[in-house]
Amino acid sequence: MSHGGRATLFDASRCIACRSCQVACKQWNGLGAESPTPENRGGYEHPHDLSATQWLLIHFREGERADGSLFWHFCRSSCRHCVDAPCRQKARDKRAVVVDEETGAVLFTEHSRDEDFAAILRACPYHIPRRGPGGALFKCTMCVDRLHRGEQPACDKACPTGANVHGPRDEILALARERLSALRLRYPNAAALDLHETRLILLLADRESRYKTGVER
Amino acid sequence: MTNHWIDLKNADVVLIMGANPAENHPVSFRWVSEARARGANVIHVDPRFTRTSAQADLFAPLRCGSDIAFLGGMLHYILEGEHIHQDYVLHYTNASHLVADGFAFDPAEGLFSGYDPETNRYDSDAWAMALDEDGVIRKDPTLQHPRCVYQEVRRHFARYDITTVAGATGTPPEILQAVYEAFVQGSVGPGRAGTILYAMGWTQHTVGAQNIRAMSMIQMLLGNMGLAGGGINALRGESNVQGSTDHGLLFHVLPGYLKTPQVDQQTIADYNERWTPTTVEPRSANWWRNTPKYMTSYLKSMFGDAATPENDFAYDWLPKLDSEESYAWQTIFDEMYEGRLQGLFAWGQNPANSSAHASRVRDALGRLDWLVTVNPFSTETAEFWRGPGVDPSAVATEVFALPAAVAFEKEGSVTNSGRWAQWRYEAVPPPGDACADLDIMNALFESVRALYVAEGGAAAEPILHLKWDYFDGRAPAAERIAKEINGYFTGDVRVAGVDYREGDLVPDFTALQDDGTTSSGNWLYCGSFPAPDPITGNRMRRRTREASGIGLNSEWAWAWPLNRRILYNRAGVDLRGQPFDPARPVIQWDGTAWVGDTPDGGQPPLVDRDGHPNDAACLPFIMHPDGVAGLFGKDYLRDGPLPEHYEPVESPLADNPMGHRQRANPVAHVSPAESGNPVAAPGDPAFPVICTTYRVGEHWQSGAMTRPKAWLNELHPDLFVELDPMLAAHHDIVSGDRVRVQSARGALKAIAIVTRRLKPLTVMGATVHQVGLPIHYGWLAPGAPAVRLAAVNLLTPNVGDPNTRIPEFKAFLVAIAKVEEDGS
Ligand code: SF4
Ligand code: SF4
Repeated sequence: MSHGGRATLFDASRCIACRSCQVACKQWNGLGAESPTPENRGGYEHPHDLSATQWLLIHFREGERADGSLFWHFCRSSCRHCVDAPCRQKARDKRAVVVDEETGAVLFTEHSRDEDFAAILRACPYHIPRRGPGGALFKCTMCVDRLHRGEQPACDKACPTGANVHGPRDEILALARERLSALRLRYPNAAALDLHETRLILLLADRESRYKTGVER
Repeated sequence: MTNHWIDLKNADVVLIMGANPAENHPVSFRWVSEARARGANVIHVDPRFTRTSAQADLFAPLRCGSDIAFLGGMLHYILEGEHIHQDYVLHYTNASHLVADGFAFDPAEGLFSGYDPETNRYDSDAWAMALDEDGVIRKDPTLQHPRCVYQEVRRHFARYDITTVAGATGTPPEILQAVYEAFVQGSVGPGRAGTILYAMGWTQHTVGAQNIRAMSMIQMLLGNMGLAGGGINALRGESNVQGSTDHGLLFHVLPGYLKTPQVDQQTIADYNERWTPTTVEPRSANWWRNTPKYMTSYLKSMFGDAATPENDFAYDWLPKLDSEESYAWQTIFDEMYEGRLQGLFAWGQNPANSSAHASRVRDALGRLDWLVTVNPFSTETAEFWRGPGVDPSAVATEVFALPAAVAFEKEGSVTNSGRWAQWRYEAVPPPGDACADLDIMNALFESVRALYVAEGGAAAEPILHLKWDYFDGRAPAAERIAKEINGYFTGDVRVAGVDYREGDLVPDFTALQDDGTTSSGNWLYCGSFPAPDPITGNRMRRRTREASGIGLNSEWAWAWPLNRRILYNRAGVDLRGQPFDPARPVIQWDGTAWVGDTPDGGQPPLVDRDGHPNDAACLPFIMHPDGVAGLFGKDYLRDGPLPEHYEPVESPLADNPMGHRQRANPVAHVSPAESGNPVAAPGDPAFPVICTTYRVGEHWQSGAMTRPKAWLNELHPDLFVELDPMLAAHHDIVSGDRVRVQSARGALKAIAIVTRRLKPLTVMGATVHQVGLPIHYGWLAPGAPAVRLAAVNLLTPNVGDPNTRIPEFKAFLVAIAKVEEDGS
């Protein structure tokens, strides 16, 4: 299946952190605001974490390089739809985590309610699943409902700059390689993360440690 | 914009200064990203490292309000290094024109000639050009004459060397040098074009118009106007602010930028005489010579059959400005504060939040008899009488809040920054009692007219005779009005060999007449709806994509004027009409005609194939009486024919870093202190920190439309203040703390964001700190503790640019302190 199905490229070199994707995700999936009284805790990154109703988050990380130049990098955190999903391997009941055949989307079902959440979260290399109030687990669905109707995912549709690009996996891998080689001319540290393991490929323009990816390694 | 959004992709260097498009015009970044993918350099100059800087190849910090020093340094670099586009400067600008002896700039006083200290005004006649005995401007094509504009400009900017500029701006000299080099390198040479994107970061200063003038001079010297990927591009802050400006939003102009009549112009002949420029310059089209045609056609659209040659086309019925009197926004609220206004329509506006010195504005609202607000949501203006610290029982103003439809609930056109008028349909009907603005206006007008019919009144004629036949239900009102704006023949006329009958739509503004046989509500839009069919006749509805290869999209919607996508495009070609950039031609002379975009006039190129001057040709800058772009200009701005650095009204410097005695703009508008307008003294130790204001992408304007939307509000839930780590450490502040910010006008509390994206700068040898806050907040946010959600305009000063009267929202002084746990 690794060459079939769908994939999304997140090209951090084009992301302006407008967070249209973050809002479009909530809008399409009917997810409410995280709190009736939201608070600024001293930064731009809001809401503060993924949740059962927050499936996509844009992270911000700023800093100063040795030469005094500043950077402010934006990165997307959401399910990567792993090709061979560790969360699925961990699930005791295989009905809890299923893979959509056509797209390769990894989906949690209501059977996830009976899973060991802590174990599944530990299994996920990207710290993605969250448990809802009823016990079931939630995360990005790749908008399979939209894909099955021939529409693009909400995040891709809302992105004004071409930072989120969704398509057949072969094409997305080719695009990722093409953009990576172009980026390297300007940014020698550019890298494409987990190209072969996931269906959400992060293309970074700088060292991974200068991004907040949601997973510190 | 002289160019348009998609054209940004054609740039070889993109200078973004006074703007933050990644946050405030996010879609523009699709095209900036395309330019970058092609190898363009993106330069961002800003007091603060923003989400735009994050995408830039080069970031330069500068002190708020020092833009003219920064740009003056670039002019210095260009002129001293002789990086100019020779042919362009010689033929398409007034560089060779000689200035008359009356002009001088005194570098010790910091004043231009013609200044009257009694009135704080300049007499611009002191800046006239030198004329020969026929009244033609004297010229020196060698550009060597000491009084030619080129040499005047060189002399003026000789003072803006890197050291002086770095001292004024706080930008490190090596970064200044890098920016100048990068912009010039991307602009000069065959096939190169540099663009500038600016927004309120340039306009909202007491030298706002001169900021833009300085950049315009750079674009002319480098030959960047009229090319794909070049131009001067103002990123307008609201989807239809270009359209509303085109249609007469501002007090000094009627639709189509016709001047508003003044009391000393009592007849249409007086008006035409005053506002129709003449010229004896050879080969100048002087397009505004058509003013009488546009004015008469405008009057015909206003008053229809009641406008006749016998009654001066009802010119009497237009209101006249008291000469020299301003009806600017600031003046309106000054008058209101003094109790001289009875009522106000705040239509799609939230002045209680969005105006400078908002607490004074709220006081002023309380002195009205009545206030009508028209908005989709309630606003701080509609509810000012129960705002923080206001006792409702002490407010006598009667407030009416009318619910309005949002954009998707009404039909009509929206004109974007690139001058494209795009037609929109009603996607869903408005909910509840909400109405489209046109329907609200019609209901109001019908009632007002009925009162005049029944009771009469002072100056009733314009109300009784207004042509108002758009709401009879035979066609959507928006469409009927769009046709009126385009204009009709009001008699049978033969134009350019074609016979038109009364009632036909006018094909374009070249057919407009001054004898009352045509109407047009806005000559610039004449041609937007040239045929009666509601679908095919309405060119704003067109949706055919790109065919030109450079993104002109000439068949998508319609752009004023005459569907021209890139203004001044005849300056983008050489004297023979061949594009300076052959790979991305905007227009091109094929030997008999221009091909490509609609040319700025169809006349042949300035020289023919054999290199002989072409008598039938005309100069490219057709809106200027002398046909060329003005590097030096007598008639443009009230505060000088050339830009000069002046300090913001509130700044930490007691002296002008240019070394002259004039600290701030001598003709800046400063509302009287005795009328409740406190201003901090220069270098006031009580307010040691520079403050600026801005927007974030997640909220819209005063926040009235986005704060009620929980998905947007949670992205940026509260007023914040950004400050640098050194300043924060000094006050023992960390991110997330509550900070009190105080100016001479008021104080508020905000959440601290301590960030290296703001850096202390060294200005005139001293360290200055800058802080910034966004404008979108007010007390009306659902579920939020009111005390924190203050409007940032409680801090801003009521001082403004002398030309535009826009307030200085971008540079003023504050003090900051940490708010302790007990709230003190
Ligand atoms: S990212 Fe985590 S949750 Fe998503 S498929 Fe991979 S393991 Fe599962
Ligand atoms: S919509 Fe696109 S540009 Fe905006 S935050 Fe998401 S990925 Fe970035």
